[in-house]
Amino acid sequence: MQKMREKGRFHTLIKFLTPGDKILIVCLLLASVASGIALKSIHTKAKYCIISIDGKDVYELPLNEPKKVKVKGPLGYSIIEIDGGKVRMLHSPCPLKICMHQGFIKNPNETIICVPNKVMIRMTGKKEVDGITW
Amino acid sequence: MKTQSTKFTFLAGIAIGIYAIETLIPKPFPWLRLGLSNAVVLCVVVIFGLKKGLIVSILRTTVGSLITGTFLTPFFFFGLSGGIASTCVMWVFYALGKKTFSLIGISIMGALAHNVVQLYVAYIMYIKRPEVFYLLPVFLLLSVVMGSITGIGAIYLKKLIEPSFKQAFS
Repeated sequence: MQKMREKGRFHTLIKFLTPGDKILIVCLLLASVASGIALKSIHTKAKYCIISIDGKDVYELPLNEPKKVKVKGPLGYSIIEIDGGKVRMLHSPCPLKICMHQGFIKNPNETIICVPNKVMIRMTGKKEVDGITW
Repeated sequence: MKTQSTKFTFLAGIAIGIYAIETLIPKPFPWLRLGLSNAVVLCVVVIFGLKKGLIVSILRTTVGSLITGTFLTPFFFFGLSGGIASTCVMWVFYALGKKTFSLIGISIMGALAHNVVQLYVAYIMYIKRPEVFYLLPVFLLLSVVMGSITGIGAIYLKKLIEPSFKQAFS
């Protein structure tokens, strides 16, 4: 009995919808899925990585050439490895090595942050240093 | 005339009340709202026309944000711009296509306008990074869901209040 009443209620809700409404809802749902897929596919690849120490950007390096960078933080030298579009912290003097355990990063806006040694590695899609936080 | 303006103010009060209570509902992002007060705005647009709809919409956002303490924050500007845009869009759709769309369809269009304009204002005024538009698919989906809920609310609300307003008009 309860079930039938629920079904009846649902049917009255459906009855409110005109054909135009149904077309609109279907179109919007399709548009939402399509734009989701489109945004995924044009997802830009990271081209540069920005290395900053103690809040200051010190390097902006292209990702296509393999390189090892040695930077000095408050605790000592961190070694950052760039290899085939990916970046990782190869060695760090910090006690917990969280930055090293994170492994490679490759997508735009991904970051490796080493808090004790104040080293931050940031990936960008374009050659441009900007960022607004609010 | 007196009763009409009294009832119209009463409706604006309902919209503000719903707006204030709605912020108490837990949600993953602070700018995400169910938009149930939009049902009141839609009813006002349908019964009284665009001008009073805009007044209710602006009143709702301003007084509502004064109550909830978000006045002049970014969320207030998002809500204000989105509210004005959605009121205009709902009026246009109601004037042109009230035979094609029920209040649910009109409400979905309003929610869509609200979300898209909000996102655009966020892009122009605050974030200035094209990454904002990655939220667009989510917002499209959300506006369908929230718009349907609001539209159903508006249908019942209209049924409830329209007879008394018809009296006030005549």
